[in-house]
Amino acid sequence: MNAGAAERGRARAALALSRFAEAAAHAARAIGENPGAVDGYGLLGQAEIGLGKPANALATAERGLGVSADSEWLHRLRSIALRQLSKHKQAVAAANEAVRLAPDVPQAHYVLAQAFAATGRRKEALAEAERTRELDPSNALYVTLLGDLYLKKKPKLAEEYYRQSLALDPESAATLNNLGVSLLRQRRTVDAAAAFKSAVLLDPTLAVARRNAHSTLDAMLRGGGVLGLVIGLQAVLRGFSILNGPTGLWLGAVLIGTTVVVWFLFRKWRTASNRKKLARADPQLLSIYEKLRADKKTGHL
Amino acid sequence: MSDDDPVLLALRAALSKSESTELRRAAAERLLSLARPGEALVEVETALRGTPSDATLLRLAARAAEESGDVARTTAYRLAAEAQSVTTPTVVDASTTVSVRASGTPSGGGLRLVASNGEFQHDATEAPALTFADVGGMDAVKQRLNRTFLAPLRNPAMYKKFGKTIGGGLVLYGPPGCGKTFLARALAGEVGARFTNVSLSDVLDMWLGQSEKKLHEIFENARRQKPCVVFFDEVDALGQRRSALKGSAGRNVVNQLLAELDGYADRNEGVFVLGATNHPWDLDPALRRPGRFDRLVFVPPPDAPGRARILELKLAGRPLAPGLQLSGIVKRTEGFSGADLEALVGAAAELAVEASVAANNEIPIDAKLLERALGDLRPSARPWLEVARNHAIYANEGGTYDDLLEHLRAVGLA
Repeated sequence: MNAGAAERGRARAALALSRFAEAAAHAARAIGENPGAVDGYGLLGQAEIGLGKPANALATAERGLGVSADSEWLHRLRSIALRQLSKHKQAVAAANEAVRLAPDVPQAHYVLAQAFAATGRRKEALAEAERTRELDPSNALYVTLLGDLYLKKKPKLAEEYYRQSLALDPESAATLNNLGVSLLRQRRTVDAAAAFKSAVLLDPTLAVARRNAHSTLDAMLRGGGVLGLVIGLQAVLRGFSILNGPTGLWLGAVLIGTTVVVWFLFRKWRTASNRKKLARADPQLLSIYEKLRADKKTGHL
Repeated sequence: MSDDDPVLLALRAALSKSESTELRRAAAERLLSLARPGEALVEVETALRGTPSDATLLRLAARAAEESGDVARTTAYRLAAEAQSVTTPTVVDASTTVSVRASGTPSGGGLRLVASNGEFQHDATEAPALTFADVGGMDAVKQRLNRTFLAPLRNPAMYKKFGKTIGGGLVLYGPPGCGKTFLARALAGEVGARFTNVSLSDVLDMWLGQSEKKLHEIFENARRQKPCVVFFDEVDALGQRRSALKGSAGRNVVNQLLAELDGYADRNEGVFVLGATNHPWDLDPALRRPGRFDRLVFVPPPDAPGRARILELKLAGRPLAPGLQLSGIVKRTEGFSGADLEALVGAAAELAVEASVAANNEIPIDAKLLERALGDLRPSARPWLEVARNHAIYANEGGTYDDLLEHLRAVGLA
């Protein structure tokens, strides 16, 4: 094995471990050893995307395309980098070129679907996402993409796709979070809370899942009461309009105050009761909620 | 080369039906007599995988390597054979271990181990000269290491009596630059044992070739020269969650690591496996079960005595103002890692050089220069702690991250 190939191997191994900095270093050395090998640029570009440096990845992909303009991988990387740089039209063009070069590679269709979705071309995005799944039905990521595309308009269908995706990869916290969102959109709050809980437990660093879990649980536990307050205040104001003079004014003020206090006490009682119910049904979820509340108070959420 | 020798053909036919060390040895001897030392070496190395402590096989391997012109392997196998001839301990002799450490001489007699590709990989000549005395502070971590690794070695009979094995595994975790590797080296110095360091680059190289075989060799070498500390730096790279390694060669590496820690447990007596990682949550859960990496031990940023010791070490040999007091700087560097403190000393030295050039006179490093250098620096461990707190708060099943949580509370992050 020559030095360039060995470095490319190390870069691949590091990428498999999500060690992007190491992967970039090895890929850069591979390019130095063998500037004519297109894979080196692909590996470096992929590592740069992983490092959150789309501008560098774009430059790398374009350097690689200077060596070989027919590389599907490099066009695909170029599309990803362009999309991340919000150059959506160019991203679609680059992904189209990748698909033209390798129509049977699911990754090319996947990237094209993402590029279409970013430009708001939902129908085309869906067609590409379907094609991606046809080409590789075992990849959970491709099924998740279908769920993402249906999430806004057809949450029930999105839920189905997310469940299919989770059957393929049950440890994807991001998919669990999106499943929770699809359930929320169907007003299935309790099921959504369970999905967010699983997402938080699987990947506690996923901030969006923590925020979703907090807001859903907050709504679940503190739910109700506002309608009672509105009705109470309406009744008081109606009574207040009948009474005139200073007595009426005082009485009105006392009644408003009483209504607010009653509402406040009712809300407290309701929250405590909901908490008790949750403690019996799912103590782990309640414990997570307490932690999320504490995080919210300290600005960590 | 064709196998036209009838004896060799018969031996290989027998080997194809059932594996036998004796048959392998006979095949190797036959190959040597046929002046085919390269093939002989392959046969002996295969046999050694089953019985790595067999002195006869090691001598045969040395002969085959010598006739192949492989000097490195010749030396390694000869030394290993000599070491095996002198003693083949099944129970670690604690008194020897302690006396070796007390005299401060490296144990091992200059043995260098080689992988099957003939490269020197794991340098066992130097039992590290560091000890826990060189590590400032970190008393809790040192106590834990003492309990897990040192005490069983110093009192093997007692541990045996209570059915405890001598050996085992432990993972040090914490923010980068806080001295996990340094601690591991100090532990090896305390144990008086050989120290095999497996770094990330070794792991990446493993993935290129016969990963599982290489990993097995590392453990076999350790078993051959026990007591031995095998240190896996960035162990999460080698033992990453298998669910994250779908379709990757890494899954087999994790499986092999599990087999080495577990499947050969009866032969791991005297083999201490220490891991270090910044991402303990990425470790495959199976690795954290009893008998493997039993415990996760948090290595926090150095405490005040630790920081004082690090600053003293880093400042040593540089021009210093007479009577320089570090207590003020130590107080103001709460949360700084060892690497941060090194950067601080470097920055202060830079300022001193600039001042010296401007004044045309040597200006030593004093408290003021250190304070000025400190102005531009922030503790680098903070982002790690921010990520870690999520795991400690939301995924602390079974109290895995209790010590981290305690530290987070102490620094007001939880």
